[in-house]
Amino acid sequence: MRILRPLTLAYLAFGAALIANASRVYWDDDEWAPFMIEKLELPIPDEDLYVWVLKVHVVAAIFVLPACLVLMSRVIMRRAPRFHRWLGRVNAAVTLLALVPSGAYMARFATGGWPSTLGFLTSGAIVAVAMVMGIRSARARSLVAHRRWMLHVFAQMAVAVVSRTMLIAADAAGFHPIHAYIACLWLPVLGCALFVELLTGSLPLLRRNRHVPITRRSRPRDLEPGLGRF
Amino acid sequence: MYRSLAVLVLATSSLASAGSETKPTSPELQQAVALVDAGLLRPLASKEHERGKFSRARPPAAQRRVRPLELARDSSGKAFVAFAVDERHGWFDESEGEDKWVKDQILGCAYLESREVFVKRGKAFHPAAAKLGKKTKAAPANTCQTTVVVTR
Repeated sequence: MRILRPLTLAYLAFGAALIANASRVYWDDDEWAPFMIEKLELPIPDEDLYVWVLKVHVVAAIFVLPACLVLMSRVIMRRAPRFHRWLGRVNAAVTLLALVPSGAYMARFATGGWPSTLGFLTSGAIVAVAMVMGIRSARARSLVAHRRWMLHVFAQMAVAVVSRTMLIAADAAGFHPIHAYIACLWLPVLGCALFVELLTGSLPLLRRNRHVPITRRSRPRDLEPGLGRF
Repeated sequence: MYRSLAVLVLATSSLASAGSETKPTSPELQQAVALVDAGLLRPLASKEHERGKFSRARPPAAQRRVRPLELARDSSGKAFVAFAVDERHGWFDESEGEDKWVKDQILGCAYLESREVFVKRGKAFHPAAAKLGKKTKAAPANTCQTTVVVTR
């Protein structure tokens, strides 16, 4: 089980790097990106606005997922807690002011129609609510709750990597592209949320979190055995 | 090595499917299939293999075929062949039936005389280069608009 955590983080870091690399095409002045070619076939009311929002979303996403990976680092949490806090603040601002609003706008025109739109909005809502709750719990110095909510944010960010991986597998298996697209969105969105709840031992959902004050000596793994194992 | 092999497989499969699956009856329709294959499907296949796997766009098709729909004339009297492109994804057996094909993924028309291929984008038609990502302008309004049907 010890190998699970570094493997998961390495997989997500690799996925984030691939996404960032694949995003370079959005800044090509001569050509539309393949994603934009798909969108131009839709009745988008304002193409320029869509392109601008897409670029905001791409830049925010390139920052947020790697930042989440850094924020998950136990070494940084222990040895550079101030850096953890400041990176967390910047990450929260980018997420709430850029990533979620731009994603919500783009969700209207998602491939697959309203089921995809609903999937992206659900993921965005989980991120926004979890981020706000995570900030509140950090300010209240409730570390267990803070980690639970931030893991929800991280898990929904990880959906970007997981869903693309699933989409490649579904495509290789020959599934209908639109059905596969919708399934590869919804399954990780719900699966990642459920995974975090199981991992943090927060199920049943109505169970109240323990309030654990942050002290200099407190270590996350001491506070929450489930997370420590992960 | 793998990339060039994949491009080769795609190119040959799209050519094979264009010729064998649709079986156009008239020489004009056959000519249109060849034109669309050379002007749209082959460049599209090689372009798609250059792009990153983790793109936000849908995964590219493994195989495409051209279905000529009709030979017609537009309001300026120019003959064109309207066509649809169907796609197949993933691994499949060549003997598998029609249900594996996702139909009408690209709609367009091919002008045989000028050897121009247009694809539908929204309500307008654009040069085939639009499908390859080039920033194009919409073709004149009468492009690909059927006035007289010659052969269906």
